[in-house]
Amino acid sequence: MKTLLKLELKKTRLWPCILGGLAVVAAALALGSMFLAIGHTTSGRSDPRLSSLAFVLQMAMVILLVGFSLVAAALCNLVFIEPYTGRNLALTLSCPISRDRILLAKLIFVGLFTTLSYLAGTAVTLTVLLLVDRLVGSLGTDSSGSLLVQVLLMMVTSLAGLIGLVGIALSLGFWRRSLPIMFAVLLLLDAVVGNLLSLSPLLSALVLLIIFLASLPAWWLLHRTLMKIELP
Amino acid sequence: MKVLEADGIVQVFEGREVLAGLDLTLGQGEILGLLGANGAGKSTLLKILTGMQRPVSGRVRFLGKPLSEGYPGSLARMGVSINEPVFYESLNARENLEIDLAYLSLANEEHRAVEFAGISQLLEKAGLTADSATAVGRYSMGMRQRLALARCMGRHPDLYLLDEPLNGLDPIAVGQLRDSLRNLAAQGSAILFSSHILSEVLHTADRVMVISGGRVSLRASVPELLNKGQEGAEQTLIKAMEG
Repeated sequence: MKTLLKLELKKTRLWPCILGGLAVVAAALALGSMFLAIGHTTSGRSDPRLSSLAFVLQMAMVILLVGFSLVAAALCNLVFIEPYTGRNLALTLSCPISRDRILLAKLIFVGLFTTLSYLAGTAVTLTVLLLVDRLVGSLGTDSSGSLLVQVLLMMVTSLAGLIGLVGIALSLGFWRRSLPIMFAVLLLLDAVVGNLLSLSPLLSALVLLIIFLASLPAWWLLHRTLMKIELP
Repeated sequence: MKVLEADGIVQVFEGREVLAGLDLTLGQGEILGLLGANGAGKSTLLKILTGMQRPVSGRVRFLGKPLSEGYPGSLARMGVSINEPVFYESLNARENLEIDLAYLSLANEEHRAVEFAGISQLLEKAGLTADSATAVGRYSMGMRQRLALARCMGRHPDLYLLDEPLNGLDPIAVGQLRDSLRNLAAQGSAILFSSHILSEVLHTADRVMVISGGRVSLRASVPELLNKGQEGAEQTLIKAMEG
């Protein structure tokens, strides 16, 4: 499996995804900083949600989730859609090893990159926002322990939601063999989920877990389709 | 020894019978030229012989065993280039060969491919040493064809299945390819290649098979065809292609 993962790394042009990830972190920092600043204004102070640090972090997490879902979808295009549609299909199918192993390696590769980049991006964003919050005068009213639990819950459920969003969009995109359809579905889901995530942290977590569970049949269908594909 | 045997291959696309009960055999060290007009079913036949496409009916045996049992491991013993040669476009020739060999090293089949150290020799044989660091996406069609053959050769296969390998090659490269195929056959590999260039097929192959309307319209040995002279042989082939 290690060799297969190395081969995926060698074959895939990762730099657009890395740049995309950096852009997402920058956007989350910009939006988070904006919400931090709003919390210090007169109107911000009068709204208990806007003046709460947990809300600022939640908004930054929404940007991270939406942004990284797009980055993951771009990577899925490079790893799944491009090699299994069009001209590269013959190359992919001419590998003399079982398709299950190749597919598993591709899934692990995409999953690893997405998880690591998402966790790193989230860690950087939250650390910077917390530091800025401490420097400019804290909005935080919650204890550090309670905030940490909230952040960890958001990170774990967001990751599950990320896998779910990408799985549903990728399956539909692959079913129609269309990159635009994959991104259109993803943007639509992102828009709906992004709005739902402004609910309370617990409700947000529930929404994300439902999306993750809903994606399991989609992942299974994608696996089945890829296993049956033949050279046209 | 029979390397490849196909019996009663039938393939249907959208209600149209592309191959209608086609048979062929290919022995060790033999070169078979596959001819046919555009859409005659040559590429479809080659895809079926690799195992990458399943026929509606019929069976294929590779090295004495049903192909469906050995697939995809059997691909480690085949050098395959179907339709236009495809590569990882952003990588250079050396990296493309390295990836192919790395996949082979993972196959369960007995691994007989060249070692990584042999890649330089393969590139040299393909005349690509000077361009080995250039991304394959920038290669001309002729260079891609030569790299595709080098990739096939890297596997040290028992069987070469080459779909129009002469496409895009200049006359010098055509001559080199002909010599390469002859050498590979002399070393025991079986070769099946399709082409539209009748003169080259007659120069390179031991036998020819012409497909028309999904059926074999002519099977003949090249010396037998050349008894009528080069022009007569080409006329016979064209007539067979017309069905």
